Amino acid sequence: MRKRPILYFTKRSILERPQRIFLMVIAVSMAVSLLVSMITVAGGMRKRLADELKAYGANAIVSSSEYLGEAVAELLKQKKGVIVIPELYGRLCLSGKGQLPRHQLMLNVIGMPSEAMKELKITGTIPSTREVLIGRRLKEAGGFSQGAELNLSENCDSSSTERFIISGVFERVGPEDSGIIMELHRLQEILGLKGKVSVVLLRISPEDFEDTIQELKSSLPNIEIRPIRQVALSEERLLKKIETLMLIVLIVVVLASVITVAGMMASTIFERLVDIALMKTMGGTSRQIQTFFILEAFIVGVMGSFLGLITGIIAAQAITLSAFHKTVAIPVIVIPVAFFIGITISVLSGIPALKRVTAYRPSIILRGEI
Amino acid sequence: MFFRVLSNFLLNEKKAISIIFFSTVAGTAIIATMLSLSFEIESRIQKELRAFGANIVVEPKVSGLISLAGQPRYLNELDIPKIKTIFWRHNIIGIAPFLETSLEVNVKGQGIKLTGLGTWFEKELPLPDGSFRAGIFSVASWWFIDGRVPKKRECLVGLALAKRLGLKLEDRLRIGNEEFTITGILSTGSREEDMVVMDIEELQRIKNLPHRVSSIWISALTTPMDDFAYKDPATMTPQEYEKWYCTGYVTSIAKQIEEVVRDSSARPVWRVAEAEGNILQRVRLAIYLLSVVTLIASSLGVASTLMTSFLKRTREIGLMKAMGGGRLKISLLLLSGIAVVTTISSIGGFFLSLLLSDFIGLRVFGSGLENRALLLPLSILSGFLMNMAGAMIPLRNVLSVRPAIVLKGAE
Repeated sequence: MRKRPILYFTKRSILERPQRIFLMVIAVSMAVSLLVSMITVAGGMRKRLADELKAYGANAIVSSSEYLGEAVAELLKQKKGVIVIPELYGRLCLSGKGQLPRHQLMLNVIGMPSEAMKELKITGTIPSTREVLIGRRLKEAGGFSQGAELNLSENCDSSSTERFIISGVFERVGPEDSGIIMELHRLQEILGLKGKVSVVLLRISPEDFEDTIQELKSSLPNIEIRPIRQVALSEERLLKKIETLMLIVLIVVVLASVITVAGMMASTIFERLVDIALMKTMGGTSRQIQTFFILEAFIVGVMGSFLGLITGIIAAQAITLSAFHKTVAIPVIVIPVAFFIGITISVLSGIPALKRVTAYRPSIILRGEI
Repeated sequence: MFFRVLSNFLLNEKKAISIIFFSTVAGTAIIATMLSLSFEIESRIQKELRAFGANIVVEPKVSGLISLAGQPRYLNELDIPKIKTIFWRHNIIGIAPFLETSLEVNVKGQGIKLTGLGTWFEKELPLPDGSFRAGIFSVASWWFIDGRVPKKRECLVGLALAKRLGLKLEDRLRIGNEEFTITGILSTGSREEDMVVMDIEELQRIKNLPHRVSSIWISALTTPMDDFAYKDPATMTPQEYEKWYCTGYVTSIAKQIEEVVRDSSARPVWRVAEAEGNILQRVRLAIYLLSVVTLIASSLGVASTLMTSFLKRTREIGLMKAMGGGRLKISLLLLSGIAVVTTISSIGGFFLSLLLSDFIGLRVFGSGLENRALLLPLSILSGFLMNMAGAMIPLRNVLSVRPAIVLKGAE
């Protein structure tokens, strides 16, 4: 048996036993598809969860002992993947009739861009420049309703008040709920703080939180960026946990499925004792016979990996699509990993059996004594 | 006769049986592990998500604008243990009260007006059935003290405040006519970093506000909000109200807290409550679907093993047929052999899954997953589903063999 006969045997062995080959390919592809779908879902999970975590709000804050220029916010906006919300804090005087002492009350006011208000829990609509949102406690205390008017002025001594219409009620929990929220530039105008903000809140993707903070710190040395520990720390912990979970599940599942496949691959070799004995009597060396089987296992491995790769990717897409309503990017790494694992299982699992089988004397096998 | 052939198969076909055995053990073990994981993933992840802080805040009720303008209103600290007596008491896993007041502080001979915050650091709440460990760390795990927790005549200063005033550990602050030693610098990344923080009892004493608290933070395990949960309780029918009240929604738990804390208004922290619900639903669904994929893939793997072992027995079946065995009899014989192996191996798979799920639980969540007895019948069921489905196709194939051809060795 030279090289060509090996190829010939392999070809015949594959083409003439389609059922067996098919079963082996299915077994290999099952292990590979589990591996591929697990890796893809696990990889995508981190990103998708990071998206979901956005709802917890800002995870870093830029502040200083004085007001910040709005230019800082513009600079921060240029950094990709960072959501920037500038906020201005101030106090305005609410003039009312009847129920207030001297008919006046100082209220905390937050100014923020309209698009940032979309993230708030609001009943009502986002205010235009002549409108404001009021906090839930203020609404309960004052019995205000949507569409009612508020008279606000910079301080309680000034005679010029401005009239605002309540466009909705917001709820953030905490002292803010006794105050009001209005459009940032409007508040700057009223307070005479054009272009100034009190803080800039940042939402940085938790995936590369530390790196981004370091980068911002070095590119903007004059400002102080601090993580909001409540969000930043908890996110980090949660993502780590989920990642470990997926990794361990991956290892357990892949290990178990490899055992199943390996058992099956080994059994197919024992089944072919007679073939092996025949090859030997025809002058084939153990080495040539092993090469033949390994070549066959290699081809099964390639086919199984290919099938497994495709079904695994389809399964992963289906899972992420229904769980997170978004597709998942297929990490390129799964392609080499799929082929490596598929071929390795297929080839390696047969080798111990092959070693044992080729050591038998052909006459014993052919006589049917084994 | 039937049993003789069956026992012959079981005793003599060791190689074929051991392959079916091991692949079924591995297959059922994976399935049972994924199932036990998906049963518990929700409660485990929820515990992790509680690290994001309180999801219910209790504040004094307001009525009339005067209540915002005039004297600050307070809740009564003595009402707090009652929170652990509501219907959903076991879901309440963290409680901490706060008292926020202004403080005249003398720092290095200079008088300044600062904000003082009092809370519980470590508090054992006595309950009718045992006690409950409450305190700031049960609702705000991110609070970090560089130093140690303050006791009597001691306090913490926030990081920003410490920087601004140049304060460090062991420095003394004069508040009223008492000296307080700084035992730690507090980092929270929030408003507290600008405050003087101490045990709530100390602040109540120096401000003469016995048992007064400004707000209470509560961390509760809740059922994710669904469409029904957003309905206004005021518009519900009595049946709906009862259902809402007895479901652990963040809103219904808040309502029950309001009922036991006098003059209070308990509100969900929406940001935390809603994000939590979303994340829980997504992770749970992803794990469920992964379990389904695992189920399908393992079944395919086991089925292909089974097919291989059936194909090997063509000759035997030819012989049975030649000796007058009917299709039904032969199928019954083959399947009962598989059934015996499947039963034994799925029980083995169940026990293996106990080890695997314990391993996962310990490594990821620090405690083993609860192994439910339900998993045993489920493992056997999945083993049977897997193997019987895998047996059907080859069974049909081998039953249609013509004995003469097989026995002649032509196939």
